[in-house]
Amino acid sequence: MDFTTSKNDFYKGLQKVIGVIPSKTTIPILENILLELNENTLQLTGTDLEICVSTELKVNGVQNGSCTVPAKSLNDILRELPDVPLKLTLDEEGKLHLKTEKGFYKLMSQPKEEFPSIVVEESEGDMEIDNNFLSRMIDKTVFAVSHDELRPTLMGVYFQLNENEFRCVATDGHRLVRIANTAFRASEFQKSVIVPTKALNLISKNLESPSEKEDSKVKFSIGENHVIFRMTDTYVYSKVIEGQYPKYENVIPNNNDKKLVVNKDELASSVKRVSIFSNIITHQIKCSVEENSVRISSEDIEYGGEGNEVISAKYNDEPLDIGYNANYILDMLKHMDTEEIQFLLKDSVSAAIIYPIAQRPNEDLMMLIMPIRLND
Amino acid sequence: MIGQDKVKEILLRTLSRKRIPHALLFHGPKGVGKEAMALELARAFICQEDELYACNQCSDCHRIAHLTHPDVYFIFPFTGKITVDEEKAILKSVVDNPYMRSNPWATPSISIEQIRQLKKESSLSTFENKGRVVIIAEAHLMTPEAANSLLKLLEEPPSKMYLILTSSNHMALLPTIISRCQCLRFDPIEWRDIAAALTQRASVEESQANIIAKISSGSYRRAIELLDEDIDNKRTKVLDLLRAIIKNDFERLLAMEELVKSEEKNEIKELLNLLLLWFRDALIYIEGEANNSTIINIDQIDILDKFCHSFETLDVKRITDEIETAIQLIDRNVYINLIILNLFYRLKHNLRRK
Amino acid sequence: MSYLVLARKFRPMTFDEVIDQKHVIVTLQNAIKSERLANAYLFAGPRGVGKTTIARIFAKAINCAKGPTITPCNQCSSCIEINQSRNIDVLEIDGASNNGVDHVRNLREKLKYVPSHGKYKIYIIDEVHMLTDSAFNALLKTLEEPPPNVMFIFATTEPNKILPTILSRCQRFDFKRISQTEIINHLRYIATQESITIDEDALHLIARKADGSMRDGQSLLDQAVSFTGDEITGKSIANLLGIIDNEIFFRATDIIKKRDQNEALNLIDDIFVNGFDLNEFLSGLNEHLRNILIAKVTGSADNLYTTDAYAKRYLACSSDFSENDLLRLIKIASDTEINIKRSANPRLKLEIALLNMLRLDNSKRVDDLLDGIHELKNQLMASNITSAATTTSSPDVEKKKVSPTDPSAGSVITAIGTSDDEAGQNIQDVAEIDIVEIKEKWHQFVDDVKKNKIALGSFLNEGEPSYLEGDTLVISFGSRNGFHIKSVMKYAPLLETILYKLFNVHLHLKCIKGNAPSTDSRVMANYSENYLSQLTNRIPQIKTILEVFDGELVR
Repeated sequence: MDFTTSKNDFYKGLQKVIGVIPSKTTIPILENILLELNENTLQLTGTDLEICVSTELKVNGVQNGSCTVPAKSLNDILRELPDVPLKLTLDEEGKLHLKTEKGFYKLMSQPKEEFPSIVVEESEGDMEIDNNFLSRMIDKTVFAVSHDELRPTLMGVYFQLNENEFRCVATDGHRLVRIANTAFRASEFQKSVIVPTKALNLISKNLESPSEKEDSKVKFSIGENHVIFRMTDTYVYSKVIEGQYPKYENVIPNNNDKKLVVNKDELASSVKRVSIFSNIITHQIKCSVEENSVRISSEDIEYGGEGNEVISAKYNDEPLDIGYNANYILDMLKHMDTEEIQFLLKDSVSAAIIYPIAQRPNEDLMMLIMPIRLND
Repeated sequence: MIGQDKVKEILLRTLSRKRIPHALLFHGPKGVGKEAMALELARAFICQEDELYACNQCSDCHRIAHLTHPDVYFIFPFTGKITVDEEKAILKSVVDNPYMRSNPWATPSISIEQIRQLKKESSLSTFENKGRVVIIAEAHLMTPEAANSLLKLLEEPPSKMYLILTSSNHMALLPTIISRCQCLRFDPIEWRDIAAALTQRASVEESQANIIAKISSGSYRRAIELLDEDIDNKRTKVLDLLRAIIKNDFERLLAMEELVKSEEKNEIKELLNLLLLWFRDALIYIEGEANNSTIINIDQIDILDKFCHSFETLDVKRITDEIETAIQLIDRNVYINLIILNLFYRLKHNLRRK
Repeated sequence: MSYLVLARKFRPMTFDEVIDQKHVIVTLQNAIKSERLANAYLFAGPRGVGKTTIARIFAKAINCAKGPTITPCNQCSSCIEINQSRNIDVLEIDGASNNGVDHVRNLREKLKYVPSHGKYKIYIIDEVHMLTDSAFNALLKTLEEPPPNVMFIFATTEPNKILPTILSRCQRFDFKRISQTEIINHLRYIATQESITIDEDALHLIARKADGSMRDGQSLLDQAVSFTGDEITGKSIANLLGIIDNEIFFRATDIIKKRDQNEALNLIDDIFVNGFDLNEFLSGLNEHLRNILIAKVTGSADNLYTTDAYAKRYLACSSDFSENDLLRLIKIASDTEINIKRSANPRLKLEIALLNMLRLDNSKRVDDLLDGIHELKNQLMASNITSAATTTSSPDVEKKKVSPTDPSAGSVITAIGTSDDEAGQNIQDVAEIDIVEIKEKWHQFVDDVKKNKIALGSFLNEGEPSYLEGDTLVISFGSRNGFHIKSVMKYAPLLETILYKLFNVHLHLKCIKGNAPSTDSRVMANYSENYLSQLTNRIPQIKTILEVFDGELVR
């Protein structure tokens, strides 16, 4: 392997990968970064065995080859260098020489064979999504993912691809978010997969980077044991969560006939204040829905505190008292874009459905929240 | 693999019939190749090059052998907290020789945290999609919490996951664990196989290899350890002890003092074990054919012959009982001088010259 | 490459499919029918008898779209999802990894939410005995005031580890071991379904080994198929389960009969080469010897649980050994079985045991000995009249009789001197016990003493039985053990009783200092030589005794 590049280019590429490389691990090779040179393309790859990030950059290639070197050493030396031309060569003893005008450094390397191999099949399932669209899907769902290890399948976002719809779903059993894009087209393609949050957060971060333009596209493919998100010059490969996602459709009621419309910010700030006096474990607040108003109240039995507020709303049905977890309400409101939102209610022990007052074109966003029993 | 033909045959049959149970328990004495076999099986599962066997050429085989494969988990017991570096060192020792153990493996346990971590891993898919293998070494050292929390995974693991438990004391495992596994017993390795392995792998001279193999009582690990222990010197020492014991009170006392002063507890146990083997040889020599192949100290057959002829009927049972009691007492931390002195007197008592 | 193990493939999906446990199922079904559901159930019982299985079926029955029903449909989305363990309202928790108080608090927080879809939120907590006490206590509050529409099903193999306060708040079901017949029938059914050929022998062996656990039985069947093939016979199972072929035991008894030491060693080598478990071998040998013994004692093979062919062989074998032989062989085998587990060199133990079995020629003659003794006794009785005349005219004997230095010796002489009948009795007594036997059983004697008086036993440990002077047992102590001697003599009557119990012989005790035979006993030796030669002159039968016993004059 033999190539020349500039420090800044090389360093920038390295930054995309370095984040995923674990610092302490029982498998020493994981502390290395894989360099692969093919003509004028250098590929940098790092992995923690759950996620693998790989990025390409243009260099002046002299001789193809590959090796793995300790990521930390490489990163440390590059950080301290000014932006100067670099020449990297791999010698016969397996040492990587990094030459600058002023001097040279030698890094111990290990062969590529020791490194975990990622089989990226060019599967039939490649499809493209707008960058900003994917970014939005992730943002709207990832907050509702469960952190409870009792149900591992809920610890990721469920990606569901049908012929003309792309859906993301997240739930922790007490709330649920479903966002679908109906402008999506993929012929004869029907797949679903549960993607761990770790990968999604990493992709979000990558999508925000300056090299990603809003109007560019992400290629997305689902393998048997992985998903791959390909961005302009970087791809993220992630393990998926094993097991089957619950049939979330069953949870969504279709006979909620009582409609409540409120101002999102008004409700949010009200809930925020009242919840200060809620039980610190359950964060329980009570919403008393009456004609054209909602009374939000809370009571801290242990310390005797109380909170009470009334906001105006549009509602013309029988009055209802429903208990909710204030944090859940706030999380959801935060991810609503419209000024007004609507709740569809049935009774005090049934799930409430929340919609933005108006959907974006080709988009369908729905949130669901389970009530808390009020009688105790 | 050294020996274990029966186990090999069974495993090959399951591989060829594609009927591999998701939970296996390998049990048998220490140092007979349970972990080595588990690793070998992991290779056979994952390696895509060959139908049945592992090819030992491809990157998969290579990485499994080095325990760096992302889809092979090796869980082992250790004492208390352990740093990543220590863990690395242990794994490396397994890589270097799956029959061996490095030190922190002494009196340890497998914690619930290790099993929790495993369960977390198993909720995610495999990394390379060729199946994954979990090896839990010395599974009986799982704490009750750890063992109980493994049950669900052991009974219903995700697809393509194989769990191989190994244990040198499977009676100590929870019945609920055993009930979920298909069990394979590993026997002590035949001494002939150990001897062959020693000559081939460690280039030990054949006669020496034979003696060590017989002393190792079927454990290749023990045999390897014996290589480093200058066993000939020890065997000479044992004979010297024996001479001192039958000579007179003063010599006996001296020998005891010398032994207790210069040797470690484990060394003394080792010597007593060799003494035990000497009497076994005597028994075989007296009772069986003179050239019985199981005689260990075959190179000292002349001395053995003289020994057997200079005493009245040897009550080998009595004598070996005495030695075994002494070994057990040492384990129980009884004052070692007393044990040895007492043993020597009793041996003298049972050894009457013609 | 992967396949579903039988235990998973044949996990029952409805109450009807469950094997056994009818008492549990009927009660649960009645509860469903009458809609009287408890908030907490405890399923207790050994491994692999259906606790989790029934818990899952029960959950399906309650949350089934057509439910609550006693026959869950297995078709509605609720049932399907429970079968796939992904139902949002039914959660299987393993109590071992979620055993802390925090886990329970976390759980309690969730109970406040209403079920998402089904009628009940159902928590199946397996291995619930692993919960910590504080976790149990945290749970207690929930069980006291259970939220509506929440149900707990606890499953455990160790109900004794569960706090009584928890137990009292659960409806408890004790699951039973499944009978061998049920296991056999079910395994036969599975075999048919899977096109596995399996003979009855094999099914019996598996069922026996399964020990009441269906999952064990299924695992073993699985193992048999994986490891041996589609045609399973008793023999292949025996091999798999490490059950040793009977032939090897017949070979063993044959070797013992022939006293072929070299063959014995070869046998052990074979056991090792074949990789049999030594414990299995010993317990197998024990059972084998027991079978022969039963055949010997009953004279028939009716009481043996074995096939006819083997029964005949046991019967044939029984003529090769005496009862005593067999008892002693069994003793050696079972002692070895116990000791071998702690042995540093199990092989050596086995070799010694087997070689000892070959050496049992002494016991071979016990019956003959007794016969001989009876004959002698009769002869002595017959000669009573002729010898009586000479009794008084033996001055030496009289002299010794009054010897004050040795009262015990005196008593012997008195006995013989006064009556020939008694002499015969005494000779028999003495003949029945010798010092070797006492020495052999000395440890046992000391142990027996320890059971009565520990200190006394320890004192006795310092001494050792030296020799017999007639019916007096001489125990020698170290020269500094005067105190021991005093203590021992103090309890002489007790010790004599114990001796009698052990050896069935009345013996007197005497303690001496020092290991070497004392001058006393040398005098005794001289004396007894004289005495015996006189005795043989007087009573010719004594000579016969000596000949029969191959005896020599010791003292």
